Amino acid sequence: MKLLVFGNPYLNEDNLALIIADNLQRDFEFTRCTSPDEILNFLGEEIIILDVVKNSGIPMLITDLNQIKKASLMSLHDFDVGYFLALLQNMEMLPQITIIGVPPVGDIDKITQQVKSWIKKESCLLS
Amino acid sequence: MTKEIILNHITKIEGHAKLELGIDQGKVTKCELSSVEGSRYFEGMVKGRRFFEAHEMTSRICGICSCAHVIAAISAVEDAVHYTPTKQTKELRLLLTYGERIRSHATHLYFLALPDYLGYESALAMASKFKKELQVALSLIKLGNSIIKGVGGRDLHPVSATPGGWLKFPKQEDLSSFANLLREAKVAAKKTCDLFLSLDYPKFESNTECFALHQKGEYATLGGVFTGDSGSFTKDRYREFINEYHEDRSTANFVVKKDHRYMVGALPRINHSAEYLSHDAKSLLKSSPLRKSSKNPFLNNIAQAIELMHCIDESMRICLNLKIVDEKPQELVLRKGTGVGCIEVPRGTLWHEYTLTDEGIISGANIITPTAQNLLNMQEDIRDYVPSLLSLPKEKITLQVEKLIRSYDPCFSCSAHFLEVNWS
Repeated sequence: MKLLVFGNPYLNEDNLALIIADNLQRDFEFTRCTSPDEILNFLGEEIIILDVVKNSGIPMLITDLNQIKKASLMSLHDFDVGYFLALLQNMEMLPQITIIGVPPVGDIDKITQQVKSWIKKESCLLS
Repeated sequence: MTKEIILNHITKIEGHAKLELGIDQGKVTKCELSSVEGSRYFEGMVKGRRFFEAHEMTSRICGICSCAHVIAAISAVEDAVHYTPTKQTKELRLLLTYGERIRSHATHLYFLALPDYLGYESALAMASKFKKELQVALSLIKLGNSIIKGVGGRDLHPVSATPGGWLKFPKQEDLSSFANLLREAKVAAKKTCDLFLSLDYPKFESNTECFALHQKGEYATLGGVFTGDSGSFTKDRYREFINEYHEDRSTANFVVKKDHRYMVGALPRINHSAEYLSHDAKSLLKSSPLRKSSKNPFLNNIAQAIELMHCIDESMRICLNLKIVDEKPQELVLRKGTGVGCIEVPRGTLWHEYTLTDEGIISGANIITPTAQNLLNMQEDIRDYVPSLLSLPKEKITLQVEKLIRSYDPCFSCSAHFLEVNWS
């Protein structure tokens, strides 16, 4: 199982997943990704993605990709994780994947504990 | 009959643009293409900053072509203090630039241009039917990213390049590994070329002049003389020939050469430097409809596909031959002066100019992107092309106009200095 974390450390609205991953580094090994195509490196593996979900107030577990709003690719600047996963899904190349979405802001300790318990549970299910 | 077309948001381009088109009695009465991006103010932001900050700041102009802005800014600063980089530094800059061009061309060709020709709204919609083609695209994008990350230190906004040299070198084994990946990618480049050669392109000749850097003995990328059909000039004289002007309707400046529009990009590059393409890229060119002085902007897609092969071959040459030496970046001897960086990037020629004080403070800056140079050309091409489309329904005219614009692979985020169409 591979744990991937996305985000931008310099943007307050996009760095919470990275902070959570740092908090959990004693428990789990995360691979920090800067570009969605990095998922291609792990196509044969079971993947858990930790990322910030815009407009969300609470952490959420996403196992059905249809839950993710598909934005049109207006330009390559829209080539984000959601679009990339939808693309892999349409290409029938999507690995077994779980997304843990965290809100842009919130109680870091509480969210960390919630994420930790989900990863433990998902890793048991995946293995 | 009067038609008004207003495209308020042109899709599948970089950034936002708007087109207002008026047609009356079979004639185009209004054709205004403008950028609707917010103003970026980068030239103002770098003023007062130190010389080594220009490339870090201007890299943020665009995530798609950040390497381009890094190298152009560094080149301009080095030019201002009369510093010539070492051969190793030049080769690493070239490799970084090629990595970005592979990534950019592959993404533009497959994700923005191809759906138009296959009759799909987006790459997402064609993914299930054209899985193999998109796998080729993803492999090329991944390759480009790997090279950029390995050479530049990061896949976006690279950090290893600096005025005077290189801060952190790729490992020799990384270069060997890239050489192997590049060798495999030649198959993907050939497939891309075959695919884009198989598409039907509209017959249209732009009333333009093609400009690109030209340098004897090589496919000009990081230097050369800015060359068109009517003549050429060196980068230090660009202000004599290139004028920028502002239209209130657009946040992007328009750029002309002595009051004439011109085109930059992959097609002009091939027009002027075809003899210096790699052996395999030349073979692809021979099998293509491109001929010297092709001015059909739709064929820019084929030019990009041919360049993919060239960039892969050239990157492989560097990776196989470069023996990394641990050179410390040279400390620049600061002096008052102005320098110009002029390089070929995915969408055309990119200009950066900085004026430095004798303490290395930036007191003036000017940046001219490829899209700003192509903006007037795109607008006038639309004006010339639309009359041939008037028998078509509005939706089809819009699609053809968008195809024309997308063939330029414009980046309005960078130029914001780009497409919405308003029909009038």
